[in-house]
Amino acid sequence: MTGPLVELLVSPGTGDRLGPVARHLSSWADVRAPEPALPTPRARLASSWRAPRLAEALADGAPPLALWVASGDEADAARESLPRCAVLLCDRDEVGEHLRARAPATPVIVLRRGGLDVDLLRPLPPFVRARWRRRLGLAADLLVDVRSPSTAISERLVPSALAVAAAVVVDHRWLAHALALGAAVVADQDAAELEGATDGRELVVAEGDDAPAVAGEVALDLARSAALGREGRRLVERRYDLRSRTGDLARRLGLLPDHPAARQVVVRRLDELGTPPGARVAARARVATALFAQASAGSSIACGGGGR
Amino acid sequence: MLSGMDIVVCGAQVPFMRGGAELHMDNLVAALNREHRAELVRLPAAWEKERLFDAALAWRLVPLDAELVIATNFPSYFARHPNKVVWLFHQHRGAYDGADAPWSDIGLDDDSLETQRQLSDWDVRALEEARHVFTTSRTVADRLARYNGLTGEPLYHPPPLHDRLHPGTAGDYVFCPTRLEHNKRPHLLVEALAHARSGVRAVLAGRGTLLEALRSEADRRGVAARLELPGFVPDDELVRLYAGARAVVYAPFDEDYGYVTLQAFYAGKPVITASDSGGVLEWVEDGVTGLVTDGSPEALGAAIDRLATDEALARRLGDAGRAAVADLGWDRVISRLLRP
Repeated sequence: MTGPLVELLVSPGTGDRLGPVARHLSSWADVRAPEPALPTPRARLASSWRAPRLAEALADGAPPLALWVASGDEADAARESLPRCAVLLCDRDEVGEHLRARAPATPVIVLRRGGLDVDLLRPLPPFVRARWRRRLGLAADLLVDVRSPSTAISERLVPSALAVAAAVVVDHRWLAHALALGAAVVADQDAAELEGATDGRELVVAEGDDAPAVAGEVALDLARSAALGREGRRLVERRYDLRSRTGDLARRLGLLPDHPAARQVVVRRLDELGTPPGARVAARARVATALFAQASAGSSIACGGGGR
Repeated sequence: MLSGMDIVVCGAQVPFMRGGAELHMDNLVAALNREHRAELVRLPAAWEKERLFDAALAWRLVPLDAELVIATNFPSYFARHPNKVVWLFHQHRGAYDGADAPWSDIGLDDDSLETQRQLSDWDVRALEEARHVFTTSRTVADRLARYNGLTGEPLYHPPPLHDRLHPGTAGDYVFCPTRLEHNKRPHLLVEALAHARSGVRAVLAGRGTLLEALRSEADRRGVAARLELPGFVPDDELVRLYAGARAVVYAPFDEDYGYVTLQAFYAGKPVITASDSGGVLEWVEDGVTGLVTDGSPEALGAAIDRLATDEALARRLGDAGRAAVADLGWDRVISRLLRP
């Protein structure tokens, strides 16, 4: 066991709601399906108001429960249960508003996903993109335009193209994805507004047939491309990053220790820098702190605390 | 400016190596200590990609109890402090502009590309934490913008020995004090000497792995009698050699800043350099404070001849160089670094 136990209560067909949350929460806790041999969990996470054993999870004295609510209808159906939850989870602002109206005293966390998992999409700055193009034998000044119907590449290859292009022209379907990858992005005003992006800061706005030429200009200016990519990535992290919001969830479920162990502080520092779980430095940190693993067992992986 | 602060200066350490960065850190701490309490904190770093991030992570964990932290080179700017100022000497150039260079272990393989990607991401996050990012030169600021999309403000400082260097007679030799390593391109002086027709002598001072190779090259090119390779020279001798030179030849590849240029100017000497020498070109203006060549041995040789045979020109350019550094001073640097 790597941390406090969190029990998953999943009703049929709703498991995918909790997948990314459970993955991120596993940085702080040991997230498991119910098993008779396991001790009483520190907290519970339910995928819907129809989840099995929900009544037991809402009983007086039960561990804190986070409940996922997918829609306003679900919120209405579960209205009796909402105030008894420690946290309410949803993935859309309008559902969040609905929940706040139904249970004003219960914290609501909106885990906006936008169809992408920011944590799995890593930003590639212009110079690394250029080196990937060299490696793959692609044109040095490769521009990618994925707007429908002009897209000349198959949908399957779009994510890879967005990762290596010198600049990209996208519509609303691919905008968040392109921004998450740190691309120098050209999009139209409607798409920019949809993602809350500002012309000249996170992307460049251009309409219709002008867009490819604008993308060509952006690609030539490496400093501008790098700055756009950096700001675009930050925008997406602010809007969609499950990591920080799951940290908030962990705090509200009482999963964070008051005094994190040294090993857990290391994890926290790696998180601050956006380190991928599989990064070599993360593995080296695990090896370097393996000596302290026993001392850390039973306490959670750190988030917060640790001093300045 | 605030006074009496406790300030920690952070710098990377490469055990058994000492060069311009170490001098820079020492001089910064000395300048801060005139009105504050400053200490230099250094952690060993490794540059190969397998261990590249270890020291960066270590800096994240080091407790720095001070009112202000001034971080300097990679990876010291990963230091974590609510009042962090970065005066960036350089990033890990082997993963940026130096990728694919013989001295870099970064190629086009998966591991290298992911190392570059992750390093850039880490660098951006660590540098964005800083209250302000200064750079030692425009060259370093330009790299920061090009590779990371970040803004750095160039903050120039006086070189070591600036208070001792002085003009002297325009002698019969050109001088080049440098580490004898590939990135400094000391071989260019040897090759240029072979193309110089004026019979001018050269003094190429410094230590490094290329010493014997340079000696052999001088023999091969028939210029050994005109080339002096004294190795390391102590400060007194360095000041004397600057003062007595006709000009200074300094043409490294894409230098961050280049103390040699500034020291030459303090000694009232023009600098002969190359158009790809980086920070050197922030000071050397062709025909004003020195001569900028295309970096070929022929062009460098011609430039050497030009100053060797025209003492008035050498003096005029040298005087202009000395005027260019007149405003440099540590007081101004400290004031800028500490401005809230």
